[in-house]
Amino acid sequence: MIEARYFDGQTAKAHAVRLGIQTDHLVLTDLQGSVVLRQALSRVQVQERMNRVAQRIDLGGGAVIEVPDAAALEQLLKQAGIEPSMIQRAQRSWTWVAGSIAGILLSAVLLYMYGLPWGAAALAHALPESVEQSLGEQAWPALESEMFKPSELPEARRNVLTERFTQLASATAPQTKYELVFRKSTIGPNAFAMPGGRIVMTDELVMLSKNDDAVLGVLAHELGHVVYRHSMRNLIQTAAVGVLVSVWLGDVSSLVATIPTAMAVMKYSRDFEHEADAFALKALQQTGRSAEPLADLLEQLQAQSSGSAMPAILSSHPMTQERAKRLRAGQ
Amino acid sequence: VEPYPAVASEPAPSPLTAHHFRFTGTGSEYFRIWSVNLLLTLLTLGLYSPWAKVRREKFFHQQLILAEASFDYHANPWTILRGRVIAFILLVLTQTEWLGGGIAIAATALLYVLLPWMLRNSLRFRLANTSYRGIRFGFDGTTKETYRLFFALTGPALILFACAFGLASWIGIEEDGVQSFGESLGLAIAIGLGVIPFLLMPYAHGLWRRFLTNHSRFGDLPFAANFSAKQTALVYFGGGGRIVIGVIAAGLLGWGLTLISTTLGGIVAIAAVFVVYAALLLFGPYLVARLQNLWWPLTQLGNHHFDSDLQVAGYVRLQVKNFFLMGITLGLYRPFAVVNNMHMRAQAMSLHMTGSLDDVMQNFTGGDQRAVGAEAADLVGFDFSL
Repeated sequence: MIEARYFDGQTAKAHAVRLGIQTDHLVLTDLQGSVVLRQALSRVQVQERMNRVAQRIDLGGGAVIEVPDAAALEQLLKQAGIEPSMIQRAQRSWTWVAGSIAGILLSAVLLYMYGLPWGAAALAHALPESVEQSLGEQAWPALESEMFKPSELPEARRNVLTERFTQLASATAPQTKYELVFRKSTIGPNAFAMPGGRIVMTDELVMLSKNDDAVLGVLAHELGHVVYRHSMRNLIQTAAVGVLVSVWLGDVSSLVATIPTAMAVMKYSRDFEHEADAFALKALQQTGRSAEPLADLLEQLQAQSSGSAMPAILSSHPMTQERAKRLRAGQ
Repeated sequence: VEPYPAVASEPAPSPLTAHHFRFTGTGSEYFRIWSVNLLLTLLTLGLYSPWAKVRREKFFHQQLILAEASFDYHANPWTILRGRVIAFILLVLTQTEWLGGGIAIAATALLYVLLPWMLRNSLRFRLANTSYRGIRFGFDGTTKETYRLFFALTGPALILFACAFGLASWIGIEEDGVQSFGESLGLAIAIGLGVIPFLLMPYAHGLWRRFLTNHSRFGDLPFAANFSAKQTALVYFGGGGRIVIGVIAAGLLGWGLTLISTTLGGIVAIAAVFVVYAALLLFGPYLVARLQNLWWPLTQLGNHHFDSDLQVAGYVRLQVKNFFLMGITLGLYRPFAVVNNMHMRAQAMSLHMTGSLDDVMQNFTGGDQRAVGAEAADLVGFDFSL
């Protein structure tokens, strides 16, 4: 017999009782020894045990028993063949908890290194092209009016570059839809690929390039981004990392969560740059061009930007030295 | 002269006894629940999260003790899963503007129109699934009342925002910048219109809390709110005002010091940015503590009263410690932080009962608890934390 408090579900008053088990039945007796309640064990719900507080047994209809001596109750229940659940035991054992923490860290690492990039790539390739195109189309007008003016390059020059790039693209990525546009930039030399396949080349970058092979190298790099759907994958990965970081930090503060998200996403954008470089290298070789001018151009850009207000660390094309080295080594 | 009627001897006032809330959970116990929950949630890609929620809520309810008995949480995880799936689908649909066809706009409008219904559902779900001594709590605000209050609180804000945006785009600052005095004036008016909803938000919070309290029950006994929306707003403005004064003072100090030494001024400016960041971070906990101390002493359950004397500075200091330890443990300290907060907040709370414990408890009745429980299980299971 174990001391317990019984609440009958009619009022909030506590009744002091003693609890026992008699052949498949839970029996409550009052302090005088008369039976208050007798209920089949199959119709009671023993709740999970918590430290320092009474363990609860739901009797249905709001009636509940609170048993202060949870250890004694567990013994009594064990004799009747009722064992705590797997998850309850896990929560009580530090071995399980250490295992959980290790499991969480391991799955976080695996998710970050392999799961997320794989899932994002699969999703990006599964999405219909129209989705990606409409994303690009939505962003384009604002981008164009804020950052670009019509190109001032001679039309003949643009035509030559377009024609050579068309040859390169049809030789290396015949299935890929793209559109090449030239614009004068208000943010200095740059080139990028938008979701949907629009590749923007700025006058400034063309003028900075020593020869056409450098320009074609940059364009091949951007074509790589289009082929591998990097902008779409980047969007998906950034969103997913944001969700995971906020799950981990919970309701702490959205202000705090932005920094780890930005840091985690940087690795992905480096991976994309390497992947696009590898594509460019292959495309240049296949069309009988050298990657040397592209490597030179990268270093030139790096030298320029280190003189500007924006530190190289914040730029989306980090590790320029390493990229140039890889391009030259790939020859 | 008629003699004064003998003063009937008043019944002896029933003794007023204070019962303090206690939270007996520890960080290490919650750490274990939290880590197993998190692992299972990760491994099931989130499907386990309703079960995790029930385990967590059971811990926080059962470890909360008042007058020798604890609270309990009864939600059915399947019901929560149902609510989460519906809410998730709606949220995803609002994010599909790139699909075209107006699905996103329709889903957003639908979400706005459904939100009061979902909120009411969520409140009923939470309270009907909370019990103390075998008696369930309840929420009896009607759908109509919830809709009326929700649109009264959010409608004006939406109209003001729309006016501000409309004015700003009519002036056309986006295309060519601010060019004339008239345009600057228009811009100032637009900003003013856009700021008003933020100034009204604290009042809305007070009104919402009054609505919640006045429609909550413990069994058959209703809660009653004696605080006003204005009192609630003053708490916000008091704290917000201090931050604004602090920012201005730091700015003036930094500017003054640059006159003496540029380096010194620069250091002070950087320090000021950090202080402002910290102040914004701690504004939330500050409000939590001040509002708990405002609302609960002015809340009644029948003729019983609550009280709260949370040390505001102490609670804010605890958050500094929590943030610091979470930072250096990469978030692993979080369960301990949550328990620390709960401990301090519960410890500060008490219930002052008129009469002896057994008599009072004998009078708390809840009707047919089986029906209450069944009704709770039939709700959709939205579970916004409010």
